[in-house]
Amino acid sequence: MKNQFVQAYKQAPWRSQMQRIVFIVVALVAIALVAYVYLSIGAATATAALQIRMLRSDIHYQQLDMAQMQNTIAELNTKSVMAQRAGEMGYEPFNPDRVVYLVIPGYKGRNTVALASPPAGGTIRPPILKPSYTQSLWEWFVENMVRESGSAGGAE
Amino acid sequence: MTTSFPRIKAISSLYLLMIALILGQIFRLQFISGEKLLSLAVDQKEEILYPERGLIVDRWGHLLATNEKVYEVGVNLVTARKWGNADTILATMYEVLGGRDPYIEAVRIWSKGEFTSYGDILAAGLAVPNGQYVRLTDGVSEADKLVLETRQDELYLAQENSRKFNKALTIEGLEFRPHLMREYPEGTLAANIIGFYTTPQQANQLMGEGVFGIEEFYNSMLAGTALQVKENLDPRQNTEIPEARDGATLILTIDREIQAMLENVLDRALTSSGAGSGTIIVLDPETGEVLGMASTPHFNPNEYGNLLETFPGKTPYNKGIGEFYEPGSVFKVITMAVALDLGVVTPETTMNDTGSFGDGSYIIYNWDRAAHGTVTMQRCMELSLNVCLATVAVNFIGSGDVYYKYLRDFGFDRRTNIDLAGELYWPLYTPVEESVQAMMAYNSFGQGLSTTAIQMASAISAVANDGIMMAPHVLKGYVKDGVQYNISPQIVSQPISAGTAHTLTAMLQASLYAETETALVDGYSVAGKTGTAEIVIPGEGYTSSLTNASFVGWGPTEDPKFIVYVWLDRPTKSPWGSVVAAPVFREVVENLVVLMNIPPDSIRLALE
Repeated sequence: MKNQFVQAYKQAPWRSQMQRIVFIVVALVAIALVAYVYLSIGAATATAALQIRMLRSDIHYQQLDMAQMQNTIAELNTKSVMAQRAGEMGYEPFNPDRVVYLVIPGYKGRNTVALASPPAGGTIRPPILKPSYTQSLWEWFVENMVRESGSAGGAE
Repeated sequence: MTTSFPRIKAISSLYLLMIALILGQIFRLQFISGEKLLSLAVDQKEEILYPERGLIVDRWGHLLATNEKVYEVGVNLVTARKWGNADTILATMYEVLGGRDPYIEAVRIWSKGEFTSYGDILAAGLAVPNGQYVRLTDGVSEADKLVLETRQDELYLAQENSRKFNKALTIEGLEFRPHLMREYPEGTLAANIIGFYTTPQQANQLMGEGVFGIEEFYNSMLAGTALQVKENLDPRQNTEIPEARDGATLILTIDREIQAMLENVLDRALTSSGAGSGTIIVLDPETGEVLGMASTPHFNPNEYGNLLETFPGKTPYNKGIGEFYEPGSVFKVITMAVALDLGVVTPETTMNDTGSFGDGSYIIYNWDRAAHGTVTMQRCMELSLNVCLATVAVNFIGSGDVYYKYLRDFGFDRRTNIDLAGELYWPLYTPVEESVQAMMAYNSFGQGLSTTAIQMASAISAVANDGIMMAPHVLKGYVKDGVQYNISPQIVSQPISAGTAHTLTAMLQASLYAETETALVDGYSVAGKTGTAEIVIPGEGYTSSLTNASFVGWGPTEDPKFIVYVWLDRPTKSPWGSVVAAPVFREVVENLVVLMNIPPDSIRLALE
């Protein structure tokens, strides 16, 4: 009687087997999905890291090139080169005896060089990484949900 | 049943074995070798970022010191060992660079002769077990690097096209590492002010050092801050881009055109006077800004390996700040300033010049060994009478305490603290009671004490600036992190009143018209004083055949814009400052008024 009762509510063997298979498959799919997400993020991260390295290398070489160009400008503007160019254009070095002083109304003479702005109020550098690069998946999800719900509700 | 499915069991066992191996490997990597691998990884990620050394520009922005892209050439020792091509590398290096490599000379000096060639350096590198890389030379230009690269390709292709590829006949393993090296585009111009920056020679020396002048004085500002970073390969962990802080760009008070003019005038003056060396300093008395400072010998900082040849023995790098001397009669300006400021004399005060002064223990004569009778203070300055100034010091000023306090106020007991490395000064001794009169008598006309040219120029600039002495300086401003900071002029002291300064200026203006016309400049009012100081020869005492000839002058007298100090060391054409130094002042001022856009007095007064 007892066996009969149990027997009456027991799943058919093929159904139990199927359930186990489905459960395993679902678990595998879930694991695969998580693995896929992590692998994708990992690959994207690795690619980004590589790009950062390459960009930093580019920055370094461009800084070297910029310095070299500045050096070239300096060489092209040296006193001797400028004097030579002026001579080729027909100018002569001034002779103090032949200098005539002209008064130009309003002209106050040259100002010394200003290579940059004077000090101003303190400036805060914005973070270079977007928050989405550092926050967890959950934080990102909540933030976006809050933002979406806020924008859906319209401005107060 | 137990013997059924043998294939499945075998495959299962194989899989289990593989899983076990993988787990084992994970365990080994994580727990057995983990620490070692982690440290290796950290080492690989550690990096030192070098900042770019700050630029140096003149007051108008002309570049005086920049950075040039050059290459360090080295050998990958792993490749060189494997390919056995060290001899070919050396032969190629000598072929392309040999005979004109200052780096090797610097290494020779640093290593005290241990390394005198590429061969020595490479052999030492190869002798190090597991050595990875050795630097053969540095400072190789882009053009030479291209030649070496072309040779590298040619040698490789030659072997590829030959029947048998002989690795030993290639120069694989030769590596080029670009970096910046200090460059002074103007060559010798203002080198005595700028100094120079050395390239690191030692393997453990990461940065060079500033030597002399601006490069040394402001080395820490110019150098910037190197940054040791542990780069995290996970970009999510990098919250900021590591960036070395580049050095500040320094803006000098120097005017390139004035500096070049001063150096040209000085060179001509040395030739025409036969002087061994000299210096000319131009200051703005209102601010203390150094507009130019020429000094000999000239030096090309791009070839700093020639330093000891250019400056043998005790030759100073910058004579204007690095050598003291007895200034002679230009010092009479100071003594007269003290007397006028104390009110013990006026320009009209008279004294009787008998041709000598002394109490028996010492005796002082005029430069012409003549007696001039009754003379005013004005005439004393015009004729530059030693007896007169000694009388003023001893009889009119009288107190040594008062006189030497004034000299201290004028800054003769200390450095001017000009912002250039290598400034010297000679201590100002307050004489003991027994010798105070003799010392005051000698000091009154600039003998028996020593000063530098910059000390003299700085002190006398007070007379040109209403009695106020400004701190002489070369830095006008600097640019750091994209912001320009300008330096405010600093007052050092006010040793004399404005009235005294004006009176003395008028006296010295009249003096030039009366006795030193060689210093006058058409159209411009200038005041000034000559100086001729005998030089002490050890064991012989003062000799009138060897002198220091000087001249100090400023103008326009109503509103001085410049003060010029000239010092010619041991002129041979004439020992007198009035003959050799005064014309130098005039030539400088004739050019200076044009370069500084100073209108002639007639126009300036009409505009006022």
